Amino acid sequence: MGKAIRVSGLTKFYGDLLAVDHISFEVEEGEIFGLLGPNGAGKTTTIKMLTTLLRPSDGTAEVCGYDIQREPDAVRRVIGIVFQEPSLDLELTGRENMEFHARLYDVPKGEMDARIEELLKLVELQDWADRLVRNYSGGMRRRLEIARSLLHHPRVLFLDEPTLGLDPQSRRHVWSYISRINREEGVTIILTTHYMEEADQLCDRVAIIDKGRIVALDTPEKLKGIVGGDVLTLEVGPEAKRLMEAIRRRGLARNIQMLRGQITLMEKDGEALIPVLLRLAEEVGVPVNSVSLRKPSLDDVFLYFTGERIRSQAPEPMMMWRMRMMRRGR
Amino acid sequence: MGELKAIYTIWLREMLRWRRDRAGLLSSMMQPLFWLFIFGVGMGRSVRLGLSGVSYLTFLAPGVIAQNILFTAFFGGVSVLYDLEFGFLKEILVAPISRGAIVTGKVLGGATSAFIQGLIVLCLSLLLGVRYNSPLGLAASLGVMALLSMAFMALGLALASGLERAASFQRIGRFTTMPMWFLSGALWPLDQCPTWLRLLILLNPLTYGVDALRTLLIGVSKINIALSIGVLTVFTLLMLGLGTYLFSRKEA
Repeated sequence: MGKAIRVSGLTKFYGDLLAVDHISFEVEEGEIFGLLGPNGAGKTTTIKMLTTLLRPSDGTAEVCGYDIQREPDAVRRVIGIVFQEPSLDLELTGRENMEFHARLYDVPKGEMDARIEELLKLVELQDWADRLVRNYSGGMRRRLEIARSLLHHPRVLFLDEPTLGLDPQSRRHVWSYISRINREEGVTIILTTHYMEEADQLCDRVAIIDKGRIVALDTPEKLKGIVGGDVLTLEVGPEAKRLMEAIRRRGLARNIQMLRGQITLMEKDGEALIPVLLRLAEEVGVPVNSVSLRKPSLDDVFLYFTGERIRSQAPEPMMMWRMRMMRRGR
Repeated sequence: MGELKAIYTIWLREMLRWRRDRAGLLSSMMQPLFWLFIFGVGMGRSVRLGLSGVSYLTFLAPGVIAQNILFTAFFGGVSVLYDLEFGFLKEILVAPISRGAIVTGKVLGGATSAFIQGLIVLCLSLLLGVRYNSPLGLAASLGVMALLSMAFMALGLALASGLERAASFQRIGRFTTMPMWFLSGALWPLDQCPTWLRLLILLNPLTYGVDALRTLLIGVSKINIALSIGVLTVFTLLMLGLGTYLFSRKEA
């Protein structure tokens, strides 16, 4: 199997701000490849460079063997894209949006109508085809964009946060379309997401990206394997630091992280570790509110590599600020 | 071949959108009606042009046709910025078509709607009793109207391509189109004003459109029509070039 995408040393500065920091990776033909990371990690910037919308500051990349800077037109012909923000003409019908795209990509006239019909059926929008997109729901718009991106038989499909802002049911819908497209049309798919489950469910391989760099890249199973067999979370409170140091001193766990009064340990035999940890907590006099044990998720992998959680990043500053205000008020 | 299809595709979308925008069409017809019916008829009573056999309304009509084309075409340029704000520009920019084709398609689209609206104003003026010289002049004036539509759509598009937001385009647009309209010789004859004013008027591309239309429609001329058409053609090509250059630097 060949490489659908080769990226080497790709970099983007916005003024002084380094958005993408010399990243390199390869995507195999036919796979679903995920870029997982929090907002602002550089995922969208990477996608925009690979789809020729942004010029890289440094480094190179090839899509299906075409250089993104020297052969942008060739790249544009072999890729399909679904952007993070909607890119439909709301004043046109679904079918007119599809026809516009088909003509721009020179889909032969004889094939166009049948292909549009087939794809509208795939995303279950055939009954809505002749209504203005303005009247579509968010999920329907997303599905129309996915159908549109496939019109010209792209070899590589870019999906930037394909389920952002969708309700759980629409999200599941979109997931099933994505895997069907990958299977039935044999399209290589590269998607960005900050939803753990999405990367876990859909992707053959995942690159975890943080602050413009790839911190880990492998299959979801192997990534979770790095973390260890079990994830133990202890709700402790303000004295978490003291307990964590005690655990470290005893050498009870190789991998231990603390975040806002919560201690997370990643170890092989988590169940046997629970009584040991509780005894230790009693010895050092730190009360433990609760203990939970589960299999690792990609979020734990992210925590393991970056010391942060993807989910908790956005509200964190606000929470801290509010807590400070509350203390001041007392 | 590919380029032509791309231009056609971009043009067709503009047409589909324009056809659906009934409210926009209606409201843009109000201004010329106001100028012709109220200003033209009202002023006509008290203005003496010194042109034998030409009423003020007749003198004004070609100018109002040109003005409607100016406004429709120029503000058509903002569609690039609406496409940017609504995200549709990304769909166009990642397509495997040249920037020149996008700009040409957009200009032809906006120019077509401006041309049709100019045509409607022409018919309105006939209904209001304006009489034009000859069928031949009438036919030739359609060519000038088409050229005017292209020229000002290209100007609007060039300006829009250099801006980021539709709101700033609207602001600048008001400052640009109003003086162009008043300084076009549409409201009073060119030779009946002071030299400094005439100089400003001669710097305005709209002047040449108004005068060419007047030549063909009512046989009143201050500028050689060949010169007028030459100026408009050069202006259109310059704006197309500038528009393409500015547009190709856009990142969605």
